[in-house]
Amino acid sequence: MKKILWSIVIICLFLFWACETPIGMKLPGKKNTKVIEGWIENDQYPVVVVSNSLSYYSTIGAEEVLASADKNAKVYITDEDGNSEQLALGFTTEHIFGIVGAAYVGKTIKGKAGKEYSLYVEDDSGQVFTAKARIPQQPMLIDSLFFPVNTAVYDTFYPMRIIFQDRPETYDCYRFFCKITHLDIAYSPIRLGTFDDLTFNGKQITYEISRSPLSNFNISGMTDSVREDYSRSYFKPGDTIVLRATLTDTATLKYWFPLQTDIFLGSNPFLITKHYPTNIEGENVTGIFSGYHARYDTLIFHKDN
Amino acid sequence: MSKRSVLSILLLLCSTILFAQKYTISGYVKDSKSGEAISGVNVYFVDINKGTATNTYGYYSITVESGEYLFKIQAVGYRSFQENINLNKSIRKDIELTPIVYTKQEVVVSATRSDDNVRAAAMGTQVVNVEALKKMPSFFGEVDVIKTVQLMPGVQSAGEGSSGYHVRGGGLDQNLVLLDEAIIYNTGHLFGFFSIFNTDAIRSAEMIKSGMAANYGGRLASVLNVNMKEGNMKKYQVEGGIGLIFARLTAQGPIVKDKASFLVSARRTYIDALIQPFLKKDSPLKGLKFYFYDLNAKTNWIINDKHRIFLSGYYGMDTYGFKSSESAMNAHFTWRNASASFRWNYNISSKLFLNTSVLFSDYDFGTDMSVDVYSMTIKSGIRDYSLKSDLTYMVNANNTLKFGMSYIFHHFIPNSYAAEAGSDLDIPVSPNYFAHEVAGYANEEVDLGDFIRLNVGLRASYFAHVGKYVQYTADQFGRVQDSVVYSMGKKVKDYWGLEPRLSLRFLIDKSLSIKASYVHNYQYLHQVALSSISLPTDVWMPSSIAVKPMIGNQYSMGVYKNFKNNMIECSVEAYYKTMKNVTEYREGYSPLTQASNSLDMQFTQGDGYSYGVEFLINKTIGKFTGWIGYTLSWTKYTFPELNGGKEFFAKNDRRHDVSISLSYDILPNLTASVVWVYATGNTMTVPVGFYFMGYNMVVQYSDKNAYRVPPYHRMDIAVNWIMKRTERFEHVLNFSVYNVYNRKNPFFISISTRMEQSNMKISNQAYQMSLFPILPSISYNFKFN
Repeated sequence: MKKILWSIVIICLFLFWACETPIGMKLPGKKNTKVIEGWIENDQYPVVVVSNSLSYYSTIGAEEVLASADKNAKVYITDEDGNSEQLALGFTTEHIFGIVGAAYVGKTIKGKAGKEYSLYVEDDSGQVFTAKARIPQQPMLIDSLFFPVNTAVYDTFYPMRIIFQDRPETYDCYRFFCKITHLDIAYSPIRLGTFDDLTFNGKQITYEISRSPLSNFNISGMTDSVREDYSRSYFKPGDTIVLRATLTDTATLKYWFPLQTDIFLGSNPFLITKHYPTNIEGENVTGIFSGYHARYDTLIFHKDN
Repeated sequence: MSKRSVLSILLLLCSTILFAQKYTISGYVKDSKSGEAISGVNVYFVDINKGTATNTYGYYSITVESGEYLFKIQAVGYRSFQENINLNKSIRKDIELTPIVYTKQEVVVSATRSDDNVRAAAMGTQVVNVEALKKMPSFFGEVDVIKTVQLMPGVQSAGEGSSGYHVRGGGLDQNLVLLDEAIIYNTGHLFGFFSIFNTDAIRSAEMIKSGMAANYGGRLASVLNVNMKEGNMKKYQVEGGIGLIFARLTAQGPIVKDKASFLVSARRTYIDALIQPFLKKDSPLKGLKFYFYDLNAKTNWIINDKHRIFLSGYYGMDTYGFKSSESAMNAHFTWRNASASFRWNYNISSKLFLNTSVLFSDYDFGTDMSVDVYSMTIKSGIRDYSLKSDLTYMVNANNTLKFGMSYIFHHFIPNSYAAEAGSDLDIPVSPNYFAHEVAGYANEEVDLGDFIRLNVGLRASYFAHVGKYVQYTADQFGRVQDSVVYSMGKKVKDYWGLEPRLSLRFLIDKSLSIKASYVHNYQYLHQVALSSISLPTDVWMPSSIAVKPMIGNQYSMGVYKNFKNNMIECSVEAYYKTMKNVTEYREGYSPLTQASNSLDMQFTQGDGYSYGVEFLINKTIGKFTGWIGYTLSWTKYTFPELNGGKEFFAKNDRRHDVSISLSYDILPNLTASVVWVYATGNTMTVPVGFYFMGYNMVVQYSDKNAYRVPPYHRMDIAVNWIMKRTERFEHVLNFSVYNVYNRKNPFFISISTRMEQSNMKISNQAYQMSLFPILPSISYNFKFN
């Protein structure tokens, strides 16, 4: 769909000799917003990243980006039984700030299926932010994962297809991630891979897994082959892919559903801007605290396929 | 009482009756060369300065006291007609006016009478002279009625090259566009860069932006009333033209001389065929198929002095297809407009004129896409079946009454999805909507003494959303919990409203007047734009349980002054209007990922207001003609669910809007013209900050429409050369240059984010995308008589 929308634009531009000019913008004031992204998963320790938003038009270097991470916050996780843990700064590859040790990581409380967890964040100015998230009771019911190698339309690259069974008795929210082991340092959300079961409640579904690059900004200086690998949507023989298939809570779906569309469509000027409803309570804050029931499946795409 | 007294009273009554004896002169005014009716022509008795204007069908009726008068008819572009008439009985007088050839009195936008802008009660009404606009600068060799309308004060183009327009801050959906009375729901071809109106087939176009009379309704902002030519009653005629991307051909002539005629007119683009030979085999555009065409046809038959029928139709289609031989992707888009009008004129008496119309309108948009085994079809559209009847009672020269009713059956297809994805998804399909829209009105235009003219009307409108319809109730997750099924025709929700209209003119002297008007109207249809520009995908929706009708109030006041024996018209109009229940999509709605079984539940409504002042100087007569228009305006909205409930500027809020359109007859057969426009930039919502979620950069946006894009300005020039004009043949060359000083005007703003791998620097750069640089074009037009 994105290709089609853009092809319309491209055709128009071709027809009318469109021209693109860099412009300076006299902008309305920037919002300084606290950003919290946290998650807890079955059998895993919680991870919470606290940061501040940055000005959009000034050139930002690694120093400014890293400085936007809030390393002085007090972050607590509490379970349903009243057990509480203050998370400490640590490393995770699942967030850009985690690779430099600016994520808050738990060491005591692990996520349990069906349980609710409370998040408490206090930043160095004394502002308090809270949220709750529940890990769904059940994991996903995956029937099979395969590559459509016998379909004539694919040549070098192939999508991955998943057949899974939705439970009829529950409202289910799905979120998929994948990682090509030799390529990705983290699980990246798959393209438009956050959805609910309103359109297929209780049915068996075939769904196409289309990878998205780990990040949505252009990285200059890559060779063509590196760029092709970095941004490819499909998979090729030789890849080992780990699929992280999760059921999640409704708040996470509501936050990521519009956001994934914006990430997918980029700066498409033909669409209206979106609103991402957060479940974090507090003044001038955005982000999401999520509960995931995840399962991990590994597929090896053999070269002789 | 004595016999003498009785006799005296009888004599007095008789003398009163004799004194009050009135007679009517009525008939049609036509073009002597073609037999075409001429509308809006001033017909009057010079001695008593009483008269009227011909209606859309060229009919007039004046009732005055008996006597001998100088009867005169004046129309722009025609030789005046005058005759002494002894009106001692009611008479029928059809008159044919002779067009002026090689006129030096060309007019681009003209009032219906040289001083009609001062004398009429109507405000904010302007007529486009279609023949004269053919001399104006063209866009890709094609002149356009709507592009000319956009040059009028208070009318703003929706964007670069767009045929959409905003009137006094109103939305694009608030304009009623009529083609031979049938409603046109999408006026654009080629993503709106060209309008659907083929100037070869158009006789007249009138824009009403305030003080609309009670016979018009259903939209808040304006009426654009376009009438097709009737077809030459006298002789066969073929005309056409070739431009850069268009070819046009029109044929018309008598079926039975002076009784019945026909007109057929067609256009087609050929840019798709032109570019294909120049594309390389591996060009991504090789599989491109893009073209549009349209067809106008009309016939009419004068049955006798009392009855005349018209049958006209329009059909136009845009097709965009993309088929890639390299990949598995195919896409096919079509959008299509159709209208049909059957009209019956019945002169019940010399004072009573009845027009009854049966109308059909259809607009639909379709998409077929397939990639590999996945395919999807989306269809949307609107279809109307209408019946309307208008009765005009021309009481006397000072008083005209109009009554009428209209009925429309609407069939809306908001988004009909069909998908095949190797699985059986229950994709919610937004249902078709059905609705009845009924209106009745009464309107009177009356002179109260010599100075005051009043146009007062009342319109009553009723709208009912009816079945077949299923109303769902959902739980907190959106899962359907219950439903109410409405059978075909059963009422789901209805609305009604009374719409008073009032226009008042106070004539200070013969060249100066003050006017005021008030309009209250209801709009039961909504078209919600998803994107920052208008696209053919924008669906029309009815008022329903979830969506209330829009309600508008407009207060206008103006001063009108003519100079130099009406050669120069000047006006200043100020307005204030309110708009209630304006409709937008909710924040977060995306049609790509969110199908819904109740599309109207995705809308949110708010209120708006607009105010401004418009200035116009218009020189209508002489070698040098043209106008200068300037509008100063503000438009703001407040939606409880948008922008945190805070007030914001409308996308089309434009502080300054200037248009200058000038034309000069260098020689009788050579005219030069220039158009210059300036408009404050549109507003838009822009990124102001960003943050990271995982590894993805998430953009933080400004308040809604807090940024204003750079201003738009452009100059176009044209030279129109009549190479040869005889009784039998005429050919004309038009050379135009669009955007002569190559201004890079903003079409949209996009932002690109880059990260330098070497130093990990992230930067964002805003880019202005401009569409049309300097564009010379040439068109050759011919006419065989």
